[in-house]
Amino acid sequence: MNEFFIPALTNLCDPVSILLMVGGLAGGIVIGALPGLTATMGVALMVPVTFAMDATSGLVMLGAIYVGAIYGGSNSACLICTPGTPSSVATTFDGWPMCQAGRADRALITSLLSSSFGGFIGTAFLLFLAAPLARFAIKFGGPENFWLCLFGLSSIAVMSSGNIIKGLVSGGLGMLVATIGLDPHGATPRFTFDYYPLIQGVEVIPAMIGLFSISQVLYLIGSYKPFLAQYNPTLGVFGVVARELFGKCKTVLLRSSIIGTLVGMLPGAGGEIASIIAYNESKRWDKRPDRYGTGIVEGVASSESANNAVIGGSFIPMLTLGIPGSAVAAVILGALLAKGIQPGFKVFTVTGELAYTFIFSQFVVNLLMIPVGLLLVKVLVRLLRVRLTFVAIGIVLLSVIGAYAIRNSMLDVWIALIFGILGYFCNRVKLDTGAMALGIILGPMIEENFGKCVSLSKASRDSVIQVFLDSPITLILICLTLLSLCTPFIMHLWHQRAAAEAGLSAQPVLTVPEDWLKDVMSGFFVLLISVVFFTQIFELEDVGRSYALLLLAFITLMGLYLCFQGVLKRRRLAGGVSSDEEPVNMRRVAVIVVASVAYAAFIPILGFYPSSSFFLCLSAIILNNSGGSPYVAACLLTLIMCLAVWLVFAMLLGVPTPEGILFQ
Amino acid sequence: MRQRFFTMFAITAALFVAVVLPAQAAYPEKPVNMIIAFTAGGSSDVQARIMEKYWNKYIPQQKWVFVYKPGAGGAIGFGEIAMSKKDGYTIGGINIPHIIIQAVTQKAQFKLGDFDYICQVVNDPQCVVVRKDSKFKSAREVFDYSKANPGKLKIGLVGPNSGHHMMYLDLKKQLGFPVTEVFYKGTADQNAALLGGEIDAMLGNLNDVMRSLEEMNILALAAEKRNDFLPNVPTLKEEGYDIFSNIRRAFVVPKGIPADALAFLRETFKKICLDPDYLKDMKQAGQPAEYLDGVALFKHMQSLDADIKAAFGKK
Repeated sequence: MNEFFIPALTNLCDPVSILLMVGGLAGGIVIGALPGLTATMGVALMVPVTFAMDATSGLVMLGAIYVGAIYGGSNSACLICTPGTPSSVATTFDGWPMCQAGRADRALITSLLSSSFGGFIGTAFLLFLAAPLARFAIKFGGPENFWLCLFGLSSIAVMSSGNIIKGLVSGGLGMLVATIGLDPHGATPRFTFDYYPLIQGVEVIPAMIGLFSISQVLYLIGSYKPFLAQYNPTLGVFGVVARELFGKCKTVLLRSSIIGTLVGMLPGAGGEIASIIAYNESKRWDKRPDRYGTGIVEGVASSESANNAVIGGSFIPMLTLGIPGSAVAAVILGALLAKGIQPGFKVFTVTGELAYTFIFSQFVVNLLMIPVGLLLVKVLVRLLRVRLTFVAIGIVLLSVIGAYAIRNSMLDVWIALIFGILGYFCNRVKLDTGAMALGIILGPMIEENFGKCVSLSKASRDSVIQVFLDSPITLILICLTLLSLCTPFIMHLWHQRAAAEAGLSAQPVLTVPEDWLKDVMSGFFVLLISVVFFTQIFELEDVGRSYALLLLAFITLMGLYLCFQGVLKRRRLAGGVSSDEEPVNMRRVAVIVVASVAYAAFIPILGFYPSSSFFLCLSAIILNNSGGSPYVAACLLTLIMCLAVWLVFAMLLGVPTPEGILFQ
Repeated sequence: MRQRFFTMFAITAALFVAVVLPAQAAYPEKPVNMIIAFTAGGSSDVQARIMEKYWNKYIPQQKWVFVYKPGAGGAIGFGEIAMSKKDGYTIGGINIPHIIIQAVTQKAQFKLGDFDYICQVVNDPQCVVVRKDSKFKSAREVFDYSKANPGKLKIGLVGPNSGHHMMYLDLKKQLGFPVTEVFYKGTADQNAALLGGEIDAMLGNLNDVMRSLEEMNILALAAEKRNDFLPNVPTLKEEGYDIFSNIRRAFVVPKGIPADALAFLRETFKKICLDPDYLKDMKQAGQPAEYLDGVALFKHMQSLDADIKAAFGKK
């Protein structure tokens, strides 16, 4: 292996390589930061460009885009509470509270440094342990992945320790929604409500754009705040954050990076699960887990280091076995194969120069990311100086084009809008949209892998339990899942004992006072959804039906419980309902909802750019609350947004925008 | 009032000219949309990109604009092609037999008669594959073992309702083949399962198993003749089994485009398919190229359609 080191390093010192890495990084960060444009899309769209390059340069560039995009997702997660890629869901938990508390620069630099650190660890594993880890990774089959997903799902119990029932029912709702489309076993349509296009199912990304970014827009528009968040820059912030991260958080960083690498190399699981698991493990092992979710450095650090460590991990089985560890690695593998490069353990000897140049380039990219990222952070925090109304309207436009770009389908735009309105409602009645997103991501994987277990059981005397018992990894995962589910109760007991030792009366740490109406409303909402889905259940058959029925039964029970709980609370309260909520301007919320729906409805008629201009201009004028004349600002917003979208989507990426009947 | 009428008239006239005039110009005079029914970077996309490279060599004035419409195993994109404008400026890639099975088993938005077929570009045979360290050294050993130990052998397939599924049903019909079948979402999962030992053998496409050749043994091809990629691998026919199965890629247009446009497309695609440099690129990318003209392809699909209706239709 040593004989390849020098040529590999010389390749990387080439100015063209450095240019490709910096360009790939910067482009990747922008793609990642825009909700809707994911790492997978960014890399896939650049594959044709690599056809004109030599294999090594192409690979180096694609790797740089991947790294940039996964880091970029954290920027929007911190600044507007919208994960730019599904891998950054867990970053919103602490990143957004930090931003709201005026520490946006700290949140952004924490995620930058943790991403870079995670990337380093992942690549180090790729360099030194690729062969044994790849052998381990392929041991993860149906049963192992099924329990890994359940383990990820069990984190809902840790995540929403304040209100487990609502967390669980939200996760269940997500899983139910994810069953729309083709049933994975019989390949028959399920819950399509006789509307054929629904057969393609609810894609994760449009649903997440709705749940996070559009619902966030509604919240922002309805609030009386003039700006996104206060911003008090810290002096010498880079040094402060670096000292904090590599001092007090080094265990968190290292543990999360290792979790990221291990999850990344599994063929079935990627960054979205790794960051959630890492976040929960950090919370579980922390002395004061209740601080998580209030805006602490550890939260952002664990999620971001894990999702960047996934990258190195996902290349392990890709290079050695030809099996991609993530969706992006699959695309990069396609580019490699098109160049006629055969993956395999021989990749380190036969095409050693290419393999080592690529691995070393990942180290360099993670280093280069710090200056490039810092530069972009300086630009991005300026967003906090733009009036909130304009930011919110701009996010609607980006969400619409982002949702459309996933599959070039207007259906996804509508899915994003519907989920936005539902997500806003859920936030109001304290249902957990994070758990719902987790359900949408993990639901299909759980069903698919359980199906495999059932199929495999035919060879084990029809006993699924035998299939689980046959694999030691599965047994370990089952134990971990059970432990994880018990964590809230153990923590509860531990708190009580600690309180008793301190001579205080046991405080009810886990119960949050809530007004009864929210419980009843969320209960009714859940029951309504289950009734809607229940009307379709008779058209289904076999496994596809029993899984859906199971989910429906669970959700219905929980919905009834919530209603019941609400009524009970009302009795106890007997009148005086206390509310500590911020005031909401419902008129403005209604205006932006109507405007967004009209916008989406007009796109197929007027075309994308004309309807976007109308939408931006009109809603900016109507919703303007700055006191001054809105016309100049509205025109400026329209011009900048349309130009930016045109530049990024049409020119740079070549993604088509929706066509209208009248204009293209 | 009169002035406004004239303005309206002028605008309408201008629009009319703008719409009608270009249609009379000779084909091709604007970029063509290429609909890919799978994700960017996938196998179908890579093949079409190679095709594009040679299209630019022969017809440099006409560019391709790639439009990805993934979903429902390709059915969404195939429907999109069928419903697109019949002006010759929308082409799409299809996969056979997926498209036929979808038309039979789902309430899909297309029929085989909704397309005009340009040509077939890839014929990717299915193979019987095991791990390198497997005790099975030939396809016959696999089949015999399955009969001697019903339900013991675990076979991986991509599907359901796929080319693999069809071959599996064919095997069951002809040989009995009492095995435990496990369906995977894609070839990456399937390859991983074979290497990890979750399944004992699998039915896979040549293009997909080529990437892990170091770890796998390809026992036999379900093809009429041996393949250039692996000249040492026998066909199932040589082993005494009458089983043929493959996945083909082809390009189509919605039925009813102008005849000159269709003729132009067919001729240009044929030129590309016979270009030695193109064939070299295809081989490097592991795509088994095989040209078949549109008419012959449609005939083949009609006979497949009957088989598929018999195998899947009753479900």
